[in-house]
Amino acid sequence: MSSSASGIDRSIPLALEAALEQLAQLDPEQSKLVELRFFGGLTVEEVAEVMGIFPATVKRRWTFARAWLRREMEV
Amino acid sequence: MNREEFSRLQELFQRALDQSREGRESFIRKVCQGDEELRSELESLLFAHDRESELEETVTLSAQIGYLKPGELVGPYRIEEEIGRGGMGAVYLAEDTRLQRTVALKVLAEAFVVDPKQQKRFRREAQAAAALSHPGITTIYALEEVEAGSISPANMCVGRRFARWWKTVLCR
Repeated sequence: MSSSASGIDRSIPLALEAALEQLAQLDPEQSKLVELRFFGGLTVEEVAEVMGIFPATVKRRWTFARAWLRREMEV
Repeated sequence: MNREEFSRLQELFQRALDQSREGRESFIRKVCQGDEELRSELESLLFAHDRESELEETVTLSAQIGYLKPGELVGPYRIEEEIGRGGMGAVYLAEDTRLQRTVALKVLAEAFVVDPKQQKRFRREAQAAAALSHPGITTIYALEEVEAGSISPANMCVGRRFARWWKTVLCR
């Protein structure tokens, strides 16, 4: 098993980037949510405040986004 | 897929999740009405979602074991304090005794260490984080495997937000 940074598989972030890119085209709001929640580390409540939507909506969209990204990454 | 179709897919996904497990299949059949592409999109997303939920449920219990206490040594890392915990493991503030620097150490829960699939997932996450370069994303210095499991030390960014980011990753 590889234990050094030199063994990094560069195709993985590319897959993530491609999935995010596709998401941004299909649904810019959804992609903004992912950005804030995943990369920005904001809580559901914080994302709701920033985006001006209900926390319940954030939760539902986040659930979908995770399923989407997970599926895209595993193809 | 266009935006309209994507938005419909999202809506159907949510509605499918609101159905009982038994009612889901007939719900999908009813709303897709022979649209095989939509059906396969919907089913694959629900499948991805289910796998994740199952994972979270199984882990919460098994992960009770395998947490580390301050002062404990894991390979070259000495645990200082726990800063986050989730289904897959926990993140600690630790000292790299070789380089005398402070790192954030993510440790996979024992239950995952024996599962090659989880090991792979963990490594992949670390690789993804290591290859991304962004001030908001932590830098992965190394991914090591020692007796206690897989380890991924990251440079330490002090702050609630950082700990929360890890938490999101761990609990997602």
